[in-house]
Amino acid sequence: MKIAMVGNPNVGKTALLNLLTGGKFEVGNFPGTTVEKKEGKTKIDGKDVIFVDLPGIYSLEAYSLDEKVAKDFLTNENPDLILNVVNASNLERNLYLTLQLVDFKIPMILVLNMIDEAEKRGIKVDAEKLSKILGIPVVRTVAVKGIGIKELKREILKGGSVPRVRVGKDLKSKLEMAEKIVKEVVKVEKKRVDLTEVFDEVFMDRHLGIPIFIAFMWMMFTFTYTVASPLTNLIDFVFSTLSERISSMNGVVFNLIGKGIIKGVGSVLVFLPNITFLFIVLALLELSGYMPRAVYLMDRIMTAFGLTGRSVIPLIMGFGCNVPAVMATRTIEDDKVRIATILVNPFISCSARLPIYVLFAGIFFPTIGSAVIMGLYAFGVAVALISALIFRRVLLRGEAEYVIELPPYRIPNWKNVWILTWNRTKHFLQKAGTVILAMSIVIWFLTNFPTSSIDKSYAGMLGRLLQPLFAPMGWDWQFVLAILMGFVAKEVVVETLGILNTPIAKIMTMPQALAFMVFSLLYMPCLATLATIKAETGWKWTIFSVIYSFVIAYVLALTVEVVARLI
Amino acid sequence: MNAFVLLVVAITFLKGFIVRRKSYGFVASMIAVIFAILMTLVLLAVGSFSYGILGYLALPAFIWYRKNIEQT
Repeated sequence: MKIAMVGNPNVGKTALLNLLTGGKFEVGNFPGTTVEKKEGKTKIDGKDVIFVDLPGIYSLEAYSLDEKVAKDFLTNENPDLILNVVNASNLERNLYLTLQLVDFKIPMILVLNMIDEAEKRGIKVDAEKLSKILGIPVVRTVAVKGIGIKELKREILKGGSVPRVRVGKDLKSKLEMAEKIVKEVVKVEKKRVDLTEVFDEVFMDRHLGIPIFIAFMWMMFTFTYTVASPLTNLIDFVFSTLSERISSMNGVVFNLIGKGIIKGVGSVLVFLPNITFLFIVLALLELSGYMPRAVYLMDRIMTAFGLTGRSVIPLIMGFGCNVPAVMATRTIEDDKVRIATILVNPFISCSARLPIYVLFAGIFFPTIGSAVIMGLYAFGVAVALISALIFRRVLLRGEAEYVIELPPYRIPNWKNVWILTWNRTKHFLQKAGTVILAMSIVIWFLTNFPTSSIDKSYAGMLGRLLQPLFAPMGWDWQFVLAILMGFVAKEVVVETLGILNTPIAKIMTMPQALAFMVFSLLYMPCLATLATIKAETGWKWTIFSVIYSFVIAYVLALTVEVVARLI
Repeated sequence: MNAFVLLVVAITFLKGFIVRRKSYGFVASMIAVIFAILMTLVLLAVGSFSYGILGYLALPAFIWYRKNIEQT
């Protein structure tokens, strides 16, 4: 049995999918968490069931990529049943999509989700009456708390019903019908003050909104950098000791394991606490519903730079990893805005770059490390916005509008915080076990052959060959080699310096370090991001992205070095 | 930057008094408490003291505002 889960964005489809299948898909509290279809398999009373979670959509007009994905699935894949998940607090808008689904003549079940939030807001929905009008079963659920799931499973086994409601094919008659149904089944009685309104009054205050946002960002970086530091030191101690012990034994194999693999992988894993802490805060901000408010606050700024508020979610997601962030641009309807958002996304500092900042800030700015790191993140955002403006004025001209939906604030569910954090951390650990491990061996080989003297090794030759290109910044060849290797994955920059045993403080000045951090922030997207950009935009924009980011990184790093030296 | 957070908290409280809205006091006390928890973690992690820890003083205010907002 194949079941399609369809609904507006942010109505809890993925939370429901996790409950029904025991899956661990990422759940958000902002529109656009799911941008491509996800599948979850399970057995209900011995019957095999495949759930397909489609991206959240407002209609089936197929203007944006996510709407197209949903429409194509319903048209071509012939699901046996549609689970139409709707938000009980906002029934009228949700029913518009329901009435479009009616046209497919596929058996349906209407899942009236988030009834707890609706009741808190004094909204009561008569589920029985709604079921009679639409001619399909209606199940009341609270997906995050597991309420109503047994009943939903029972109805799934019954197979739902083909809707009997009669409605015209045009937009106007569907909108009128949705309004009429809501008048019949929804009763609103204002009970008490809505906390969402209370928070919004302050978080979206004209004067205080942005200072509060900056205060939250500062707290995030303090938590990420300072609070995580004892754990970072502990992991560093463990890997250093292990590396020294093993490499002190005689033999090439021990040298490879100790100075190559353990030192290389360890130099990246040391930053696992920083990255995990960052992901925890991002998950809390996302699940609480604060993120879309950040979007709203930044909208005026975004518009000034030729983007729309819809670009903000992919940009914020870029702080975690640029790959899903580039994919998240699928929710942007305007193609030019979408391409501009993709092209500037690599300037948003992903978590893989954090180890570089932590390493260099720890050496050159030990007392103001958090401020330097926050400054780099802000610098990345500034470069992204200015680049967007240039793209929109020169290459991708046009006007764009959007509508953003502000979800209610919610106390983040710890299970969902864990799923979000773990899924992202797992990605980092997987990279450590694959790409970074492989690169450790490659770099070890380059540094130990044809001779074990680093100066005369392949690494030394390669670094020296490219070093003149970066001579204006005054970097030693070891840093140049690290940048070259970092193209595979940004964590490899730190890994390379670790394997090379680079005495950073001795061979680099503070202005050079600052320039190095800026260059690492901006130069070329990593291989995985490039592959995603290619898949989303094609070769032309991918090559453009590589060249543009390299030139920008080079010019700005050089400028930073010169200015810092003069100051 | 720690001083900036404290300033934001103070100004938010102040605006609440000026416009006579409880929501500002509620949010300001909440940020103060969150910041105090964070500064306690910083103290435990690296031994660095910040006056942000005094944000715990806003805890009674937070509880009071929470109750009063709910009852409104």
